[in-house]
Amino acid sequence: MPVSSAPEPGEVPDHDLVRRSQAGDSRAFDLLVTRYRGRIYAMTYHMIQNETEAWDLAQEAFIKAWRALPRFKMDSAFYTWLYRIAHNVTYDWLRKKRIQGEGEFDDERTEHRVAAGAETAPRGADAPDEALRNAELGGRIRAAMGQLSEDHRQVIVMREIEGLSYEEIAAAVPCSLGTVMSRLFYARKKLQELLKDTYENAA
Amino acid sequence: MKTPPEDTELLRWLDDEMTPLERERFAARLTVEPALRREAESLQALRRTLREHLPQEMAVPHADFFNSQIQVRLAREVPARRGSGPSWLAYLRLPRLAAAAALVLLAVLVLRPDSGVDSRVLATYTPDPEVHATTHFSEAAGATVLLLDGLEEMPAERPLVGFRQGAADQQLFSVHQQNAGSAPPATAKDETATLTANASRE
Repeated sequence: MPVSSAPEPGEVPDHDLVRRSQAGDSRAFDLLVTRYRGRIYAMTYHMIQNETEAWDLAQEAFIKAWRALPRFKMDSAFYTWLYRIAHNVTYDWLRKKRIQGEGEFDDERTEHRVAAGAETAPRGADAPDEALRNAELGGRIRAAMGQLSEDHRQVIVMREIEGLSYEEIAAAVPCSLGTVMSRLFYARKKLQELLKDTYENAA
Repeated sequence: MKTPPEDTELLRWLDDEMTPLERERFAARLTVEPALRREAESLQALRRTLREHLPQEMAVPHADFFNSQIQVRLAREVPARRGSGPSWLAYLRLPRLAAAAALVLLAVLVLRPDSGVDSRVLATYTPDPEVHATTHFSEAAGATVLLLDGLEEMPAERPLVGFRQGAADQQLFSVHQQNAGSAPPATAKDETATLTANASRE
């Protein structure tokens, strides 16, 4: 599972903040929220492809984490534990959406292009035409992700963005190793088909 | 759907799931199989593109509001956590234990061995905020009466054990319903249990 990035020098370690949070210190929990909101939001956004709903789901993940904190034994890194909660919250949401029959995502749902200050935003040093090309490419990639099924998008996010191993993905989904490999294979085939001209021209 | 067997190795190579020996063998294949090499390069390029444009961390829109909204919701939950957390006070929510705790407090505060029958209860405390305690001195019984209102439902026939004080092992408290003498109700929920202190002292 994803591990937490080590706190910067001078930062309070996660386990101290977790202990204080477990004792009811909501200010300590606020520091944990600030530390990990960017990663949790990125995960929910990549899965949902909708800024508003991803924002809400990220919040829900933190609220659920707060409720579950008394049961957290610190037998894993806090971020690993938090990620699992966020993943479950997101997947439950997707499952409910599927039951409600909203169907697959389409390009229109990728309303959030580049958040101000986001790492996806073109760097200041980029030439204007390169910045535009980057923004267009980012849009195409998000649209392609939106065309994947939820199961395929899930494994791509876990593998390519979070860097989880097959075993970790299988445990988180949960499914067999064979299913993980199969989903990754077909998800990549689909993305290749949708994006081949894009990334081959960019190379 | 299963992964075609011929692609399984490519997948494991790409995802760094091979042993060093397997990786070495696969690298050798790449040098002699141009089609396989092209596919491997294409998948690596796809990975680079995805990682470049789908960052692991993103700026949260209205980040301060994001945090403050969580804090607002936590503020609503903190009292509930205090009420239901693994505190020793949680055990006192049980009716019998809540009653026992109140009685102990009463005994400590009021019914000291050297106090007279006109002792007054200066304060009462119940660990469960839903339970209200009131007291009065009963001339007829010659005892201080503690009323606990709001206890959880329990069978009327359930015995509430009095506790004994001192070496004489004398029963200090006994319990009866306020409507003693009438048919026992099905539950004690709507009844106020009256704990009568037997004030007879040595």
